[in-house]
Amino acid sequence: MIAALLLPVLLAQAAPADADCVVITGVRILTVSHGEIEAGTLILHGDKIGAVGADVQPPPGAKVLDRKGLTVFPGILNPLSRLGMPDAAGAAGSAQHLAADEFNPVSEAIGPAARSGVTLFALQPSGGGFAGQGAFVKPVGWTRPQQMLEKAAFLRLVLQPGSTPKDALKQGLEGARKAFDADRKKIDDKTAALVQFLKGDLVCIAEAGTPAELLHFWQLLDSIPDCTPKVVIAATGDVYKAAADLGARKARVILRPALSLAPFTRERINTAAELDKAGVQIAFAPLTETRESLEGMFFRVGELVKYGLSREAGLRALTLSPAEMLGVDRRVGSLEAGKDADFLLLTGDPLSPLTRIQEVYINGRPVVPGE
Amino acid sequence: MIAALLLSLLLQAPPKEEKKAVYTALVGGDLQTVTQGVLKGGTLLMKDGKIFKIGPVVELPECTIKIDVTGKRVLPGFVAASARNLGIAPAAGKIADALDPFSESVKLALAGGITSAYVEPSTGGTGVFGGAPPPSGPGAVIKMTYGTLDGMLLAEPAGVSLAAWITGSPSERYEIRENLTKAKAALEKERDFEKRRAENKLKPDEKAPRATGIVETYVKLLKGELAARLPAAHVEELRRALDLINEFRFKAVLTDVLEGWTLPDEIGRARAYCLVEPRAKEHAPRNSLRPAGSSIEQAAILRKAGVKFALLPPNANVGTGGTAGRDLLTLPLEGAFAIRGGLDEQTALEAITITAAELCGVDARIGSLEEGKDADVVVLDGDPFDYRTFVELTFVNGKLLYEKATSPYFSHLKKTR
Repeated sequence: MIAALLLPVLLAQAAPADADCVVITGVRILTVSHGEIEAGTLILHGDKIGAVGADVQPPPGAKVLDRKGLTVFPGILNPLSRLGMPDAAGAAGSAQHLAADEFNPVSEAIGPAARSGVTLFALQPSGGGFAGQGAFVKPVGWTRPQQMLEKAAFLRLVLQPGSTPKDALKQGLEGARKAFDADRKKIDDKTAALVQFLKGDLVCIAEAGTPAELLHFWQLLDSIPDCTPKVVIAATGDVYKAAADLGARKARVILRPALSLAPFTRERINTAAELDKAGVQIAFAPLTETRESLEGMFFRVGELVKYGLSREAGLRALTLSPAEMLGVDRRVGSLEAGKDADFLLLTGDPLSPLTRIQEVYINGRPVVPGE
Repeated sequence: MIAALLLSLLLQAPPKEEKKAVYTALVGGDLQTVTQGVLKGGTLLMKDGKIFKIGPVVELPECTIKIDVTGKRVLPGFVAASARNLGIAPAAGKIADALDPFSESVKLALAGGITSAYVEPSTGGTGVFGGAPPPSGPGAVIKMTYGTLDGMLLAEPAGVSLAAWITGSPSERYEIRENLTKAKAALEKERDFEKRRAENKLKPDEKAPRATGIVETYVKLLKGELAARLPAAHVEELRRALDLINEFRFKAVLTDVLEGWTLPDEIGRARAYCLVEPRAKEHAPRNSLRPAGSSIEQAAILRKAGVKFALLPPNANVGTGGTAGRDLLTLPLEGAFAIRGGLDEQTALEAITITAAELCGVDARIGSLEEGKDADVVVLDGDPFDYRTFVELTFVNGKLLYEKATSPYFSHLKKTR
């Protein structure tokens, strides 16, 4: 039914046939943005998705791949990545630093990451406080131009208890507020980044080790007049304690996909489900970036769905939700015409533990080819 | 039953009309006010985080959440005169920047009836039996406002540690005395300035003198705005502390006091407060020629000499691990131990409420049930000093933050008669 609704729109966007056109037929398609299509066709046009639907007609001359029995799902986005980044523990951060400058484009970790189903990585700069600016990277190719989508895509902030980090944070933001109307040429890059953040032009991933740090951060942000910052929170499992506050603030939260235990008890708490019910948008980041951990993402989300998280929110939290939070949803996160052709061909439902990743496409090309 | 009642009442509590004041009334309980005696079967009415009315019969306004506590005891929330790792994250600097209202320790403290505590900043590390590292800055009084920073910080700075006077090197002692001397001079200057200002004798453009850094803190100490904390367990440490107190005349809290019972009058003359652990035990040295070691009668002896004190457990933290039963979760039982050593019940009660608040400098706000004071209130199912007694309800700033009936830790425990 959804497919039928979509059809006219999608057909209209289907590109004319040429040699660069690939058609994948006979697949179940989980679009994430527009529901599920039981038996559909996916048309790729170059590095973009040309059309998605139940009855889209392959253009003449297109290369047709029959993938009957497989399921198509958008590539996973890891919103908290350190892929190909050095171990820089204790590094001093600053808002103008670029994660792109730390990144190693020939890292051996990139290939396995792609095979694990993650097709976009939000690289985090190292350091505390305002650590620097993150970049978007696709695990494809061996050079920065091939891999990097955006060099200065978001800001990373690590929230810490204690007076020294808090005073520095306050000073930085108040200084930036004063520089709102200043000539860009007259302010340094660090302040400029913070001004962009306060004006809402640069998303900030704020990492909170405890939910209390969020209360302190909100208190500070609320004290700065006339600013409209866009904040994405990276939180630990005990953030369920602040679910009411997060819901009231319509917060967006990145979590590890794991169940928590209520302190001193064996009572299981599904943090993701609690936040979802409180009206908080959630996204998942893998526990680590080993191949096992990345491949285990679907299984872990399946566990959370088993214990109360809605299937829709769970699948969205791997793809479209983090893309929306970080402002790349125009390019990735769902199977829609016009978006990047980054997707997975699975042997079954993504949340079934028996499902394998058969093929991975990035920019319309198979990086992990099927049989 | 109370739980079901409360739940339905609280669910009805209208957030619709926020401007309208919402009252909460505890009706029918025995109110142990601490400062104004016991009111049997009275009513306590709370409004906007404060105690609005107390009386045998209080007319309840229309929008009142009424909670029947007939047969229960209603007391001011207990005050922990010293606490470690409670409601703050391990961090240097001000307590205001380390507050952790989501800490599970806060929830446990509420379950123990504790609504406020004196804490000092610490960058971490806990000793097993009192071996905590020295604080990295002045202490503060915080409230157990689980889930919110609003109203959590009651007073900062509320105290300053002079531990180095007792345990430090000669140079550290010299420094403390020198800074206190500077503070004394600064205070005299300040007073002189105020006097001349009152008499309109200031020079043109003359600014108020202002001390900075530790001297500023010590000026506050000499003014009585905060108290010094000196760890003084044994006679030699107590005498060393008393020497400094008598020399500079400041409000002092002697902590970890063990042998205070051997020189109660000296402590009394210095007007120093004591923190007493009735259960602390230490044998007198075998060859000691003077009275030494711990005594369960210490609290009672200090009381007779007019010394004010607060009671603490052997471990001033909150936990469910190996120290359970010796920590702040059962603070009133320390009163029971002091009573066993001869202390009267009223003073024992004061020692975990109003006196603890007084030595922290916050007795105008908390520590007793009085109209106008903060609505930090606990409801107990029995006598506070009976080991069978449980905390049933805990209110902080008028908000119900603990209910035994819904607690994952305590709801299954039934009171034995």
